[in-house]
Amino acid sequence: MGKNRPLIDVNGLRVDGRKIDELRPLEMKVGVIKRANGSALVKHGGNQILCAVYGPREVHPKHLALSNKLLIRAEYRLATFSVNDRKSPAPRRREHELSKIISEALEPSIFVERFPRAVVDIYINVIDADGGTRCASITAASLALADAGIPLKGIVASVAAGKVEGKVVLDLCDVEDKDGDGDLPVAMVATTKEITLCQLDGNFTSDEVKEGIELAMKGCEAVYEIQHRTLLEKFEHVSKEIQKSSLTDESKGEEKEDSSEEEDDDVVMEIDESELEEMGSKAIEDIVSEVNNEEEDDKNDPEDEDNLSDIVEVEFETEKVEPESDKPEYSTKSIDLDIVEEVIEEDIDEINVVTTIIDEDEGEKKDNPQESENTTENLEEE
Amino acid sequence: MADSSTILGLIEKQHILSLLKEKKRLDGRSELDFRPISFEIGTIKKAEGSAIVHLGDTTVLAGVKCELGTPFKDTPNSGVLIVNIERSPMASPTFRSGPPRAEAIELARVIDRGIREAKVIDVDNLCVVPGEKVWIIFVDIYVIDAHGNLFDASTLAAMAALATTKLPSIVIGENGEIVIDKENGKDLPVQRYTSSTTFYKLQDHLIVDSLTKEEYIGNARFTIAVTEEGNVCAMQKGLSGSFSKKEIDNLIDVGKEMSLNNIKLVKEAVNEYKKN
Amino acid sequence: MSLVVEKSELVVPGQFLGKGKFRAGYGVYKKNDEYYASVIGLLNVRQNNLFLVPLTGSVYFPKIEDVVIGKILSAGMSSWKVDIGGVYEAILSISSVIDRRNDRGPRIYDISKILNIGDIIMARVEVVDRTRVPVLSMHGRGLRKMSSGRLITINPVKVPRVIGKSGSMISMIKNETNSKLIVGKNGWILIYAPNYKAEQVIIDALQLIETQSHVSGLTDRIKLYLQEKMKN
Repeated sequence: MGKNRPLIDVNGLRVDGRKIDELRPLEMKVGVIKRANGSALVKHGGNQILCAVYGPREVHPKHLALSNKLLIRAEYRLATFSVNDRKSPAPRRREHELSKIISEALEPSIFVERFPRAVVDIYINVIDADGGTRCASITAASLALADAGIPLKGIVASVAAGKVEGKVVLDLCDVEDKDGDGDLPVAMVATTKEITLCQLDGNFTSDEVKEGIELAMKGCEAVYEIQHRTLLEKFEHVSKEIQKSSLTDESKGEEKEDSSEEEDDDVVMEIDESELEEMGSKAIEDIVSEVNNEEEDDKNDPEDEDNLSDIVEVEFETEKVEPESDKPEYSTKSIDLDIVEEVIEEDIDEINVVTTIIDEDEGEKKDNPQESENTTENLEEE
Repeated sequence: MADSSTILGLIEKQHILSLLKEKKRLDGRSELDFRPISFEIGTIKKAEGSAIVHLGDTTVLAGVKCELGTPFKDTPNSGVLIVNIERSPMASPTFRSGPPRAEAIELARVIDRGIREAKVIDVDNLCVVPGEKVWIIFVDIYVIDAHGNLFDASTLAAMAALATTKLPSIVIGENGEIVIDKENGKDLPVQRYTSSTTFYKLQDHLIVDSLTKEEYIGNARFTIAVTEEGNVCAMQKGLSGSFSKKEIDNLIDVGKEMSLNNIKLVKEAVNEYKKN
Repeated sequence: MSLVVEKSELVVPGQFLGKGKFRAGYGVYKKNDEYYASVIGLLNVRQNNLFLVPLTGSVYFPKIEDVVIGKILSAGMSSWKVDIGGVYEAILSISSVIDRRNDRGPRIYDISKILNIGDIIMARVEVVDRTRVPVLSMHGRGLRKMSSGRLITINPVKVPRVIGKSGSMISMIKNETNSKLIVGKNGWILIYAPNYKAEQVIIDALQLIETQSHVSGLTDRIKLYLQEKMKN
């Protein structure tokens, strides 16, 4: 094998000074790509992985859409300069395989039934590679999915176990990956411990495999701690502000409302038609009548010898396009802009954004044993 | 969410133009303002040189790899410079993966031209074994967050990456074979700096450092790349509109000034990096 | 019935919230008798409804009767596809635009003459069908094709904050800047300002509201901000 030195020295330390069950340094950040719906940067050992998530959005081309669930489409790519010898930008078979298994490692954590015929595109770019990129990619992708607000059953954490000089170790570095006896990448939904990625290549006894998976799962928990911390750090200040202000308001016995506000009854915000006209807008009825007038003019064109148009012309004549003074009555209900339906509540904004659809889903899921949540419960725990 | 980013509403277009009449742009800049530029240099360990550029929100990453290869037949003693750009689908809902479309290829070739013709690096000095082995310098640029003006952001990133590249050393092995040692490298010699300025024409208004929405309604585009001595080393007119000679003369003058200013910024960033 | 997480506490997907007989609202899912978070958000309970105020995600989830601003993406034979910032493209059919009662007989319409690709419209969500596709209507007063203004988008979750209790925030913004604003439930906003400065000030103020939506006394703060910026 041509090893220059032992991979595990007399003190039980590895080539980079780590203990058998120690993770390489991990650093994570979310929201790093503004254009994307969600994004993350993960540094794991020498790995630097960027991930951008777009979606849920309609699938193009349409024939790829799944009629009953969300399509999860991950794309894993190595940057040309991320490896020792410059790699051509065109994806190789390994990248295609990894794209597929990464999609499959993430899908179990996503509520895919919520968005049929839509897609979530996950773009992973390894900009610096140092062994264990697929695991770091899954870690990054799960963070990016959470950053995009996609409903998840839990966050997926991933790390590889391995075998080095007969010992089962955690989180192989590049050298160990190349010169060791085996590689065992694992991914797990951190909070439910469901394993969503499990691969092996090398030479392990079956006991070593089980030991390796155990060790990897422990490693995933440690990775999740950092994912969790990363998310908390980004949004903690919001939570603290609200908790602080609600405490103050409660002690004052006030509603958390701007004191300068008048006690308005539910005045619906109205924009009258003239204001809309000033803003530059056109009622659709006016547009339709204009178009009808134009068409009538066209039809009156003597050069038009199309028989069909004659028939239409007759119809126009019997009917005369809507006169301006006679605006069709639609509903007399003053819809206008019923924009304000919500009233800002005491402490935090009750943001009833989500539709009854989602609420219905929750109800359905409770009742319908076919739905995925119940399916999860029925799964045998490992 | 449904992506209508490529469709610009009529009122959006009208609004951009009416703002331009007041010499203002969507983000408050005036017509000839560049957005703030910042650099992160040398962050990619596996690359021989690397630089991330933030041009406003546009983010671009350039990585340099130095490999040994065979020279071109007509220049047997010269090294090779290859500049490539990837418009990663990470960066915009409008970028697709797969073989590059014509716009992407044009982008890569224009940037390549600027760097090559400026003779940023002296390829004649990259010969290892005459006629057999030369250095191939790969500059690969990845767009990470696309918010307009990929041309200038890419040139900046490529320049900063090249100026901080460590050319690996050559070691002759026992059997006379040539081995490259990337751990120990020396600075890749850079002869001069270059930078570019890209203009868009929106009806009759000329703007610099365009935003994505502005690029959708531009009818013509003009890029000029300049060396630090003030010589023009590359130009490209793009899109299907046209310029008058007077406009082009003006763009050359203004573009040269702005590019020289950009060169100053790159140099500052590179020197800052080298100090530490 | 017990919660292990406090009100307004920040939770992450998969985090255990509590047990009992709640109703799982937005951002919460149920497994047996246990409740978990499905998005990053702040926990809230109202009566029996356990839900999260999301802190991430900007997709709009259409509700019936929402008035939204949208952009025409394509024109078919008798209907248009409209972008309203949701997961799915909305549909607007010709029958939701013209009044059939006054129309007799067949029409040969090139419907793109009425609404063309790129047109910005105000429409109402008539129904969200079983396949989740929102169906729009332009029947009703105030539902129009817009022909000018600055279009920006904010996170739809922040829309109530931008409007304010009984419209207080938005009226204040309009008054302080002498401008008109239309806020769609989907977070798309059309700004019609008398000059560029007012427009920029409004955009900056809206961004402030977005990032500080949780802060109390926001309306007053924004008012001061606007007054300051609109000076000179």
